[in-house]
Amino acid sequence: MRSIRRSTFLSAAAGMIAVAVLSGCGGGTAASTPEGPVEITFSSWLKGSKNVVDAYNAAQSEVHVTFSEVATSADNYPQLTNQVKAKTAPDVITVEYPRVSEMATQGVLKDISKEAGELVSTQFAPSITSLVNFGGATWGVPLDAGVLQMYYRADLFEKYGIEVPKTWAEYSAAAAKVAAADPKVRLASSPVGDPAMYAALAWQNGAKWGSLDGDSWNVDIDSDATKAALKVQQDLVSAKLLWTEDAPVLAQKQADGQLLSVISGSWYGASLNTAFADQSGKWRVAQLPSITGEPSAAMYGGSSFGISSTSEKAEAGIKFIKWMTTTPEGIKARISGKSTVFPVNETARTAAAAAFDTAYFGGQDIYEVAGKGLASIPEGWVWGPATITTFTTLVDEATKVKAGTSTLQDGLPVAQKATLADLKNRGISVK
Amino acid sequence: MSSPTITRARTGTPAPELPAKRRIKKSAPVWSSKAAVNIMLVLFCLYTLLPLTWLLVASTKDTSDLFGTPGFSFAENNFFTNLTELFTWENGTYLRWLLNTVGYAVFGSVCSVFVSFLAGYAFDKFDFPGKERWFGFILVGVLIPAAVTTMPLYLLAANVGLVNTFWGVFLPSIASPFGVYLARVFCNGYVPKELIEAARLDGAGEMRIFATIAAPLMKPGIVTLLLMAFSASWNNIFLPLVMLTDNQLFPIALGLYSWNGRSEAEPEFAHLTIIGSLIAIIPVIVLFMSLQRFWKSGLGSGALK
Amino acid sequence: MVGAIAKTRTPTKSGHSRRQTRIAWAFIAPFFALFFAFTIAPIVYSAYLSLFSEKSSGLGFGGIKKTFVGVENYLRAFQDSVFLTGFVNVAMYCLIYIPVMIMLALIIALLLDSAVARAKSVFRVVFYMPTIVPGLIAAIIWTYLYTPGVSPVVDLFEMTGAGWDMGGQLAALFSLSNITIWLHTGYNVILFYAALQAVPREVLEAATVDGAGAIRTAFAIKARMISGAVGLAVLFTVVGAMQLFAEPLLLQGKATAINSTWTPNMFIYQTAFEKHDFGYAAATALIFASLIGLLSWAVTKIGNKAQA
Repeated sequence: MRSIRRSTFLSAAAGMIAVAVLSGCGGGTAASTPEGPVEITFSSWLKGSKNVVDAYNAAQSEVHVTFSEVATSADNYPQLTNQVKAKTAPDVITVEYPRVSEMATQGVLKDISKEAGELVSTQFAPSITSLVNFGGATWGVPLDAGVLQMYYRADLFEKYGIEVPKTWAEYSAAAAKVAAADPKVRLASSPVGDPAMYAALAWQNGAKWGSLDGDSWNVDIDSDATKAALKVQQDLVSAKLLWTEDAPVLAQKQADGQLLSVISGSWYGASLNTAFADQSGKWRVAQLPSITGEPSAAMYGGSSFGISSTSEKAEAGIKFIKWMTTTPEGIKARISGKSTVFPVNETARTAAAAAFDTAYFGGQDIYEVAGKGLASIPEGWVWGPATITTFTTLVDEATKVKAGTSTLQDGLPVAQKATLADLKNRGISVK
Repeated sequence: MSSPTITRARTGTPAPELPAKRRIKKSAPVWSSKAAVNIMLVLFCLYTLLPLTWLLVASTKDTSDLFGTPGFSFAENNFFTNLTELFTWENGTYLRWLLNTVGYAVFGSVCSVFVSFLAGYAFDKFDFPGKERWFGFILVGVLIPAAVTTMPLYLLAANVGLVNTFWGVFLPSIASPFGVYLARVFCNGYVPKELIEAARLDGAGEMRIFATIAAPLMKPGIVTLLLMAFSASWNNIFLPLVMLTDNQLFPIALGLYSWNGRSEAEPEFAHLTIIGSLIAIIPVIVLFMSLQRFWKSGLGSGALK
Repeated sequence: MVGAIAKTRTPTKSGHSRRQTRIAWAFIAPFFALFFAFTIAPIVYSAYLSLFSEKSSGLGFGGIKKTFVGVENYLRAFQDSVFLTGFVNVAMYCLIYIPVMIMLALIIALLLDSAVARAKSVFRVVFYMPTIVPGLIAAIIWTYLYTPGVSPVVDLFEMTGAGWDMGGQLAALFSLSNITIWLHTGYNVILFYAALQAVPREVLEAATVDGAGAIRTAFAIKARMISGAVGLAVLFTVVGAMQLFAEPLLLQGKATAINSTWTPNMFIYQTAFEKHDFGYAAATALIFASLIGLLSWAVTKIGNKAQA
């Protein structure tokens, strides 16, 4: 803690010096006059971010945000770490929940307890704040939850005579039925190679990959709950009841109506809308099947905003973040950029539901479905600081699963071992 | 060297019927081997052209035809639509990448060759203490893989603010130990020492001698080295990947890499990547075609000395 | 290579020597300045970094401390099966790629050099073309050509009943080698062809006149006469092949046996820029560099012996 306090102090001091220097040599430029807006930078790959920035800049004059787009979330984290090292990181950064504790322990995120601790504790539900509060400090402000749910083609479900499955057993039966009816059609695609999906399925089934135990971390990836969750998928893959093709080929199959459903986060609606605009009105959303049939969901994706550790404009940054995550205007701007964001803040969520055009989903209130899903997410899931190692190990193990020489479950002990080794190497204490 | 003598010994037993025999015996093999040789060359040609032909065909397709029609059959021609989309995408990012590539690869290789020839010329035409030891030191540098220098280079560059700047990619690729080695070989081969001595006696300055007497003589070597330096920079992905985060600074290869990555989740990037690849390599193919007399002879002779 | 130059050195005339030294260094200075700043300094820094490790404590939120660990990073590398597997992968790749590519280049160059070959300059231009295509773009094109449903190549395979499977280590090695063979064979054809042109014609004519079979002549005489060029090509190919990076990076999703640490270069990249373990990345990079140095030295030695 001591080093954090000192760095906060130092950066605050540096900020003051910077302000003094800027105002001292203040000439004609707008940025340097005391009345001018505070200039901050913001990077993200989330849909609608540009719209949010434009709307924010137009709505007030205290802070001016410059937006830089990141290509994909995969590019985001190496880029941020590099930028922090080079001291060129944007002030406001986007971090998904699985990476918050990693980015905090790697010194990318700034401790914003002072600036945003109260905001987070008063505006968000406890099940969400546990994703951004670690070690007694606040590291990010939550935007949305990627509630895991099932998107399906209502028209094709009817054609093949399938009911929306409530349990994974029903889901498997439906997969077999579809493949038998038409060998060129499958119910869904394989999750092999997508560790975030493994985690979400495990989470849904009550697993906890990481937890805090006093002053150490607990890693429990290779648990019975995880194995049971992955067995469902592995059995379907082994029986060749799921598409295992690569993304572009899969997209073609989806366009041709050869893929009947997609399990994904609540943000996926936007991708459907842009990539398959001509299938408007045909898609619906349902709660995820579960093993017991009791409603249960998980989070697949979902992002928070934080301040980079090298930023000297935390306060202005938090103002912008607050606007983005908790005000109706901020959410409306994001939705206007074709996002199907599912905000975790109540006010924002109501605004989102009202602003969203439900035509693509045939008038279905997808926010209601996601709301039920959110309420059914098992509590207590914590993302540890070595999630990237867990994920890359599982991706590498997936190559064997794809080749048919290993199973999804077989990858779990390998990931468990690699994650523990990584934490120990970094000097982090593990139980 | 021994085979000619052996064969000569065999021809030493002339027989009257040999010419006729040879004509009969040889005409068939000559014809068939001629066909065989050319067929094999054509086959290799087809292999070489296969990906490029596919690229050309694919660049005329939109995303759904790309994944929905056979690789070598034309669908609806969308070439110009794709081309317009390529150059207008995100306010002309692609054009920006092209210009960056000209900066990194063209301007960079000119600087690199200039620096290499200055050093190579000095090593060949001047005498100074420790010369060969220094030269040996440079030769060791030839063996250092980029992978080793890139990571620490990145950290050092971060300290001086070179990361995520044009210069962070441009400067490190200028010093080429292999370039200095080849430049010395070329100086040795193309520039007679007597000519330099004569110019010195006339009282010409050393820089003047280098620029007006030596440089014109080394022209084929300069072009060869330019092409090599250009290829090296054009092919270098590791350094830009590490150094650059702002896509406005990307060279074309890194830009296409980022598009290709995005096409996994957003299929509309697939046809942009394809037509972008095609447009990127066309000018370079034209450039190399027009300079072929240099690389055909120069490249070989240079490396062989 | 060095010897050829050293021999041509003329004895120093002590008269101009001081002025010459000054001017020579003025000519060499720009190169050395850049060489030290961007090659030597990073290596020295790398060696320094490799002795440190970034450690946290407790839950990890207390910040990172750089700790001196001595040779621990090196010891860790020699026990790290993931890092070592990278070398095995590259070795296997080299065993397929290098002989096939060099032999193919040699055969094509010999065919091109044969008297009966037609349209030589057209062939040469076509063969050279892939050399101009950056490895990354070549890999992008070929990954599409490896994708079922898009690629005519896959269609052809499936038509002949051979099937198409990108799983497994062999598929990874072949799909990868194919890209690099496509990329680099043409360059070596041009190199070998230029060398063949330099072989004295009388020698070859004397050998062909009386029916020493064309093919045997080609291999027995011509190939041996350009062994210097071939040796050099092998050296550069080995050094280049060891540093494999862009092509497997692109193939990762397609050839399923290729993972994120498949070559040492990819391992170093991941360790440094995704796991942020710079000390360990520096140690592995130096081990890797020493091995390349050793290997180049060995290839040169063997090449010299074979030529002698």
